[in-house]
Amino acid sequence: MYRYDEHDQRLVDERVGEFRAQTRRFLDGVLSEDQFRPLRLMNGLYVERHAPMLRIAIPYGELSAKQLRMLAHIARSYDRGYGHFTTRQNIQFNWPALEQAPQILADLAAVQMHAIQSSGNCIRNTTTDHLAGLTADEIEDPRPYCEIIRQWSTLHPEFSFLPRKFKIAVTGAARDRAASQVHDIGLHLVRNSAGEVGFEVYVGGGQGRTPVIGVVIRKFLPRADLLTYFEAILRIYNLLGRRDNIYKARIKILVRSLGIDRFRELVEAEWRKIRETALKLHPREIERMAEHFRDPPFVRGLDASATDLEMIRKPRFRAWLRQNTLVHRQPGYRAVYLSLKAPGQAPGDITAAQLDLVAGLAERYSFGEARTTHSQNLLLPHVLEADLYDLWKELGPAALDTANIGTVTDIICCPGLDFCSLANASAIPIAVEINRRFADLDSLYSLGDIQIKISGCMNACGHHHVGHIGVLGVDKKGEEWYQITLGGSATEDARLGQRLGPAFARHEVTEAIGRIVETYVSLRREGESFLETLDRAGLDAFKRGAYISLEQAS
Amino acid sequence: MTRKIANPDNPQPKQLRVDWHEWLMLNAVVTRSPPPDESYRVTVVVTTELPHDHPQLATLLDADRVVIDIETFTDGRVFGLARLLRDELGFDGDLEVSGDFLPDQISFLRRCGVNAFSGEDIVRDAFNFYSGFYQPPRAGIDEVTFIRESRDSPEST
Repeated sequence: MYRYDEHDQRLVDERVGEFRAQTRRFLDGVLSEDQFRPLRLMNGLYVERHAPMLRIAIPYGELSAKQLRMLAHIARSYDRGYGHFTTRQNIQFNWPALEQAPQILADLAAVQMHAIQSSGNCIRNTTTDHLAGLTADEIEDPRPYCEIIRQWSTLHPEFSFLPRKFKIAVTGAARDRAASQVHDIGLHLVRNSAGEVGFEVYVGGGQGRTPVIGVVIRKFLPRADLLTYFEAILRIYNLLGRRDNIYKARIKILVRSLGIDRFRELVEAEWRKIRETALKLHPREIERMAEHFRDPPFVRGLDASATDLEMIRKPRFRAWLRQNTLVHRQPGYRAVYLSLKAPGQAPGDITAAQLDLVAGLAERYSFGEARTTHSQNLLLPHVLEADLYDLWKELGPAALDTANIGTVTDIICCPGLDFCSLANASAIPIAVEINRRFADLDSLYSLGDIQIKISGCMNACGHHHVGHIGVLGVDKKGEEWYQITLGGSATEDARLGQRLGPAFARHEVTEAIGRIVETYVSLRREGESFLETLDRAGLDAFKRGAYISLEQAS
Repeated sequence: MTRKIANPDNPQPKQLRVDWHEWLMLNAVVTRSPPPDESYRVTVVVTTELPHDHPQLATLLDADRVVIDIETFTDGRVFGLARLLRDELGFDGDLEVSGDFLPDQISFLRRCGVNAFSGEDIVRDAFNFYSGFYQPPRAGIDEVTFIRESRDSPEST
């Protein structure tokens, strides 16, 4: 994990002082609401339906045991005993008082955490593959580059008042687990024909009202040029991006209106001017960052097949082992998912007691490290196979052992109408209903990989556009209705879902999803995934299955 | 512009404040006219709408002072324009911002090359919280630590 040096620590401490002063000026009436808004947003502080909401940055999803305990403390002391993990690997608290926000930031700074740029029209927290550094299909560990980007983007003098928010995701593996193609910039570590490692750069992806899959702006960017190239992209966007209409202000709209070729010309022309400046990365700087992400002291020489996991016959353990653990690059270890999608639970929510428990488990089983995932679960990255059974027994009493990772009940979901002031419709209750509908685990596993993603409004925080089954809550004359899209994907084959047909009423939507899944089961051929069946059989076949009557479908 | 509208026999300059369109007209006239009787110190007031690729942007090098007037403090183009004038054009006169900006933005503006601030009374140092940043500083304007560089200095290990 990255550890702060004295410079990093001083900067977050100074940030706390600045925000304390800004909050004081607002409470004293020196700053108006309009003036304070962008300042508080740059510290992750929203004003929501019931109370302020504080989003805390978890840079590229990495948490130490100490940090987990601090989050538990914050949940207990300033909130109502729980927090909520987001799709961008951060955590948010729904009930802090504005007056206490500076003190929360001070508490966070004591464990090398902050809320800098977790909201607002600036460069947000950089996200990555939660399996970074532990899969065999990785070209290089993306985390050192994430930290380099975090530092460069923090309090950037030129790019802190952008036309709109700006999100970056980095992946190092062939499999994209960070939804990088629906980010403003998606960065893929690649190797060129000369064997050098660099980046393939995607630009202009995004969701919201106008979902767009990112396009390649550069096939190969040498590592040393990472920051100069980012600077060029951001400079063009900051100067030319629209500021007259909030819905047309993201970089995706600029890229689309100029065309990728013209946009690339502008960026590359700018880049040529600044390529050899102080921003160029020296190999020693990359090396210094990489030092922070070296392997923990693994027990070496283990033989995966020598563990006696096969001897444990308990069906529930076997299901969990198959569904929630992954073979590690290091023989004899696994990465273990802790599901935050237990039946009846709001997806991504976690209690203070669970946070404390996970801190202890991380210390005892995973070198003190845990990670948050894009799909709103947690991961213990490095667990000895010999410890898996003991770990599993500890997860059960805390309801962290639901063996549903990657299944139809591993739902991505935004806070929706229950918390968010932008929402038009509930999202969490729908997720809970769907979870209940598919509670029978045996039939769940036979369905394979089906990703359901639910957003409570057009802003698409629940990523419905890229769900295999996407659910969008809309308001129709004061009633909650739900539009369903099918066929989206956020991985390396990223694509947008297609709308199935007319929206469903709130009481119909869970059953409609049930019928869509049944349609898949009845149509699928041996070994065919949901997306493959959909592509072969076509949307109409699913439409016929989803709507009870033909009148309803028209 | 002092170089253009200058009379060596009249060293006491008069102040002249023009907007961008007046400035372009002035330039067009001056280049076709004999030297004037008077000397002028010229301030050009531009807005954040000034296109970054305007073909006559470099004429601002002849101004004594450039003021970027900000209509809304969230309009971050001011940072890009300031940097462009300083780093790309090499403008070394006074660069000022006026209009709607927050004291909280002064540190950002200074780091982009702005060195003068007009409007309300601003106690600049009261809003200066940082001793260092991750981005390269600007010599002469921004005397703070460049964190990336200080990590490589011999004292720092």
